[in-house]
Amino acid sequence: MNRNDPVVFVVDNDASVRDSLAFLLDAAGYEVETFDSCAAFLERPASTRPACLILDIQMPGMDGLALQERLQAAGSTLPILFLTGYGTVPRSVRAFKAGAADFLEKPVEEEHLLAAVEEALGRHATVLSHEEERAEVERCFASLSPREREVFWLVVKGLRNREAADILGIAEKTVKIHRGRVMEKMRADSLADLVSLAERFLQ
Amino acid sequence: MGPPALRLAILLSLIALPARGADRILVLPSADVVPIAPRMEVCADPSRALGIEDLIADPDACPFVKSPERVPSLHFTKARAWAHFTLRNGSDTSLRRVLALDLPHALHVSLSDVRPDGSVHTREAGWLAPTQLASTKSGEVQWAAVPAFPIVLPPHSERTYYLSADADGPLILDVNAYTAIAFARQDASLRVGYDMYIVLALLLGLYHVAAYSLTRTRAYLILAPFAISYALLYYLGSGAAHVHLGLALGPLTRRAYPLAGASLVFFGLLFVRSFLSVPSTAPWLDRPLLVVVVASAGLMVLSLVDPADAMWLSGIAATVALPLHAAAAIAAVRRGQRSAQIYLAGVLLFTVAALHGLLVMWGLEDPGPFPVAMAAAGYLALAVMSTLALAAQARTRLEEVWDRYRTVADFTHDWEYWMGADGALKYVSPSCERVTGHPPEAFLRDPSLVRALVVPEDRGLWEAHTCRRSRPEGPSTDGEREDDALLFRVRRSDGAVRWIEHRCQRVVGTDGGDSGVRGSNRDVTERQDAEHQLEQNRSRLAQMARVATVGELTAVVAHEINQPLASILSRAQGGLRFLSREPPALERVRAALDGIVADDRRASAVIRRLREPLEGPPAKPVPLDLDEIARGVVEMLRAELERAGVVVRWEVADGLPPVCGNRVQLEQVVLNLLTNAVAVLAEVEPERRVVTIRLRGTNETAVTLEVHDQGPGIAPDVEDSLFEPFVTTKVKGLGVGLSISRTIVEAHEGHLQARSAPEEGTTFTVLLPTCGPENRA
Repeated sequence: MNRNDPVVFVVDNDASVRDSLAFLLDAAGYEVETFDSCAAFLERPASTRPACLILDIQMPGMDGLALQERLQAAGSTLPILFLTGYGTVPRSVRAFKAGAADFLEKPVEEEHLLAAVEEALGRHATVLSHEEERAEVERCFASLSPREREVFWLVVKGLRNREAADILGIAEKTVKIHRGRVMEKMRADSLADLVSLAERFLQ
Repeated sequence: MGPPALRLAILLSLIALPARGADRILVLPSADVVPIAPRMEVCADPSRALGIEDLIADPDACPFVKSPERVPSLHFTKARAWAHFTLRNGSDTSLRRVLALDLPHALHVSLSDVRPDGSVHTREAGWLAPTQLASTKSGEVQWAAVPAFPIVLPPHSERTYYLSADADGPLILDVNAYTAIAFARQDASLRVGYDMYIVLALLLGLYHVAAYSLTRTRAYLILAPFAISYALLYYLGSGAAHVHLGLALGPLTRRAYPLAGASLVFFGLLFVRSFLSVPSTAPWLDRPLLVVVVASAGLMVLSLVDPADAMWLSGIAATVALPLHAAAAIAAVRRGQRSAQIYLAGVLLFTVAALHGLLVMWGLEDPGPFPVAMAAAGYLALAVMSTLALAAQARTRLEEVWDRYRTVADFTHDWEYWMGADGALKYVSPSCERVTGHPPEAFLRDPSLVRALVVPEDRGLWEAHTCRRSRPEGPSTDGEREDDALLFRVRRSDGAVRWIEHRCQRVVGTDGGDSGVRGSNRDVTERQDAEHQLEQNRSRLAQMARVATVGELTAVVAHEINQPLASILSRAQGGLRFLSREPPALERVRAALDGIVADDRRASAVIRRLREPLEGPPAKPVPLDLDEIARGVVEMLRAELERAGVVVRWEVADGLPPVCGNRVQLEQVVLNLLTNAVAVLAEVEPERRVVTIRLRGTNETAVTLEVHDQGPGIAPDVEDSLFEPFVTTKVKGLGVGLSISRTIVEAHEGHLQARSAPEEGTTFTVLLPTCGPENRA
């Protein structure tokens, strides 16, 4: 099992629906994990694999909406595809407002299901890679000394070495050395690269 | 205390005043009739054996002959006195005179005269009212009731009279006092009292006539001729005395019998009348009046035995009567009756006259016409006023009654009327104008207006209804249900349509005959509107409830079915994918198919479970009254029937055995047949909108319920498929009613059949078996 292979979680209390969905996703080549309740899902070990959650909106005990809330509170970025049945429009509205990725009405059409799953997995993969990059940048930023960070912010703001030196009350030459170190530590190839990093991850 | 009793009291008071002084034969001199004094003789016969013939044959036959020359005076007890004298009329005209004797205690007084042809003509005495002599101012005449004889002397004639009198008490023959009488009617002082009686009697007659016209009391009508004949008798001079004293002396004088009988009838009628129409001016007087009446009757009897004592007692009775009158008058004055003051004045006048009479009786006052006039006027006032009071009271009572009934009738909110047996309206309450816009006069003028106002759709109802025959105080007499109000619509004069709740009953007269119909029409438009609104709301609510129920059911079904459907779809699609792999993953496909089979079964189970409560286990049959069930359904449909203008007629046989079955299901059958009939009848004219429900036992084992309508009948092309489901002629409806009904009836081991003819309408017949012995409750 590759670290980047996507996985689809199915949470539904109805075994028949759960199993049939898993079966179809399996047939479509996805790795599927099924849970018969929200509580069971919350107990699964954390993973960083691209994934999506197919969640029945109407379940005894903790229902889909509650699970969505819990996941959001925990900062999860896992896309959720809600399974809706008859008479669940008001819940669907709530779920949608809370950022549900998509809605799948039972009985679920194959194309609709697979397209939604594919899209959600792709999105999650993007989110995950973005997060990875950001973590890297933050790690680099953390390795800067205090003076280097000061120089970093001034340079990113577009100040010249001379101006930065005046502000910091140090020699222009010293600024230049710091700047070289910053570029190196942040693995930036150019000033534009550095500005982009700052804008994307460090605002 | 009424006029009759009063009158009696007066009569009694008049005859009751006893004579005082010695019994004498009195002959008063008169200007134009000259007694021939030397030929007058008086004798006494203690043996009372002498007759007139004896005396004519032998003038000396009387043993104690008394003449001025022989004996100054003689005293006898219970002797017969004879007076013998001749009267001559020297004038050219016939003279009417009265011979009177101052001999009130005399019995068997008779007057004989010898006619020119020698025949002897004998009369027994009439009695003259005492006042006639009381008004003579001779100074020798006592105030007393005296025997008197009217006589007629032809012109230039001479006639000899023999007066005979049996004395009841001491008889004193006082020659000095003997005076032949032939007192002149022209004598003014005599005439006043005498004519007063005639006038009084005539007035009494008129008064009776007037009283009759006022009070319509028949007794007055009978009494009027009596009073008038009373006047006539007075005029004739002899009868008056009989009327007064005939009762007392009648039996003693044979010739007075008829008059005495008439008097008896007269007084008897007075008594009867007293009982019949005594105006209760003071209720407590009723009993004293009875006492007076009984006392008077007692006096009458007593007077037969002892006239003298009767006179005294009747005087007492009269004295008793006066205060009673006074009390009645005072009570009337207190009540504020204006006429009562005159009544009271009459009492006072009469009292003064009576007091005066007493004074005269005791010799303290001279008799005269004045007290008689007062007594007469007072009596007249009493009689007239008490009658007027009676009439006024009756009128007031009538007015009160009329006013009470008029108020009750006229101030009703509902439109009330009374239609006589001839169909003409006898009464219409003014409220009809509020309800219909037409004034009562319009209805009184044209009784068919009621029908004309009924809207055409409801005329059938109006004409079909009958009124119960009942007595106001009792339940209906023909066994119909009590609450049989009829609802129909009328069109007001302004075009508005009002709902009327009509109730009526046949009026039973006091003689038990038919006096028409009493109807009550209540405007119930607001109530009806409210009911319709309520009905609409209710049906809308029911519809909403149905929709909601269906929605709920759908949600349940949708969810329960959707789950396996969703599962099946996913499995099938997954299976297809595995099938299209190279090589096909047949094991996975099998798993998919297994899952599909399981899901399908699950869906079937859901459907089965849903059907279960609808079918339900069959209810245990219980004994049911089909009549009650049918009436219950009709009641349920009442609003619908009214709206559709359909009348339900019942033809229910007595003593129907119960049928066994499920109440709700049988109700459903009746409901279905009835609603079908109502729907069919909407197509026909209002008069034909009648549903007949017939219930009868076909035999011991089955009951038949027929629902018959006068509709157009069943089209032949529909007839064969009538009981097939989803066959309907209605715009609305599923067409399952008859199908379900037949299923239910057959489940009850019965039959449901339809019979139809184009002109006769349609009859649905439900035949249901009665309860077997094992099912009877």
